[in-house]
Amino acid sequence: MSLLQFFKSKQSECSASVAKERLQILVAHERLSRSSHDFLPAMKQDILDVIEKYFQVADNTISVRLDNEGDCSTLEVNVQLPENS
Amino acid sequence: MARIIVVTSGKGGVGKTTTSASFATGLAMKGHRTVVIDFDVGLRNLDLIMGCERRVVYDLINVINGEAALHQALIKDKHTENLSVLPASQTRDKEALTREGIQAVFDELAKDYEYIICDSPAGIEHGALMALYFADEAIITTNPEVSSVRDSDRILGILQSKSRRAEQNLDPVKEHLLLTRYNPTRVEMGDMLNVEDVQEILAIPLLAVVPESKDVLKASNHGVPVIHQQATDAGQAYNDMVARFLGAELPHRFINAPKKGFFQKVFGSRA
Repeated sequence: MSLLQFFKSKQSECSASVAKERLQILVAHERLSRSSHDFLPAMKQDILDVIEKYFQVADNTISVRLDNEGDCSTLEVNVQLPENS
Repeated sequence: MARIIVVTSGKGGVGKTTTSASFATGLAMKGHRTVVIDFDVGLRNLDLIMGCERRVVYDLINVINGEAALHQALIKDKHTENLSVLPASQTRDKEALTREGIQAVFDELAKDYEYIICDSPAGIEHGALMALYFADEAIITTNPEVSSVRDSDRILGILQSKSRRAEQNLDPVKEHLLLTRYNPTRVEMGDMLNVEDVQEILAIPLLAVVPESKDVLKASNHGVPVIHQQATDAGQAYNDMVARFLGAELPHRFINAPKKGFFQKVFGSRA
């Protein structure tokens, strides 16, 4: 690093670490959506059908997510029940 | 059994054709019978980088369509024994590139060649998918730059889901990271992603680092793959790449900035 650069480079965080951080977040996100399994929409519908036997729920009140972290997979099912049930 | 290796990246302009030319030349220089195929139908350029553009008569699509025999389309390299080039078509319809057609060409090439190098077009369209479909190994050519790294990750996803090996549940395509246009001085200044960063994000083994070099442009001006310029950093980097690919264990070079003298330290230098 030259003397001139020494004074110049103090002003901001180094851009490479910003790039790395942005990429890590982006790539993790994109990999997740890539690995999302094809059966999820069908499974979501099946779960919804069962719930609908007992509650009146709308389509958009259920969310199903499958996460993979290391060798552990988690299935997260979120159902919002109507207030008057 | 011939080994099929695709040189791919997703993003354009990162050095796929430069790499294909030097990698294929390097394998041939080590005595391996090698053919390098341009898959960029409509925008062929490998012939220019290999310096054989005036000897193109027939191309890959002609062979697939049965308009020419394979041996008529193959161009023997003038500088290196054991090396042939199969150019892409300049004008034809890309859809002529079919799996069955490519399979037939590869089967015939496999009788005469040990390595089949596929120079992929940029993007993730038909041509790129065809270039990687039959691959046994992939050279993921990446620049230390956000869009290139992201696109490389996309291509890795495609290799793992849409290649023949993925579809047929065979051993996965062997992936190699090739970091090109690396500038150690800018890395040390904190302006460029370093080797470890890119490796950490893509999580595939590093094959080689090729430094940013003026000699690459000079070599393509002359139509001589840069690996022939053994006095240059880029030439030596490609030489290391080939040796490592063939199993040699070499320390990685061209990762650190050259040491500067006193005057350069004080006044700076044009890197």
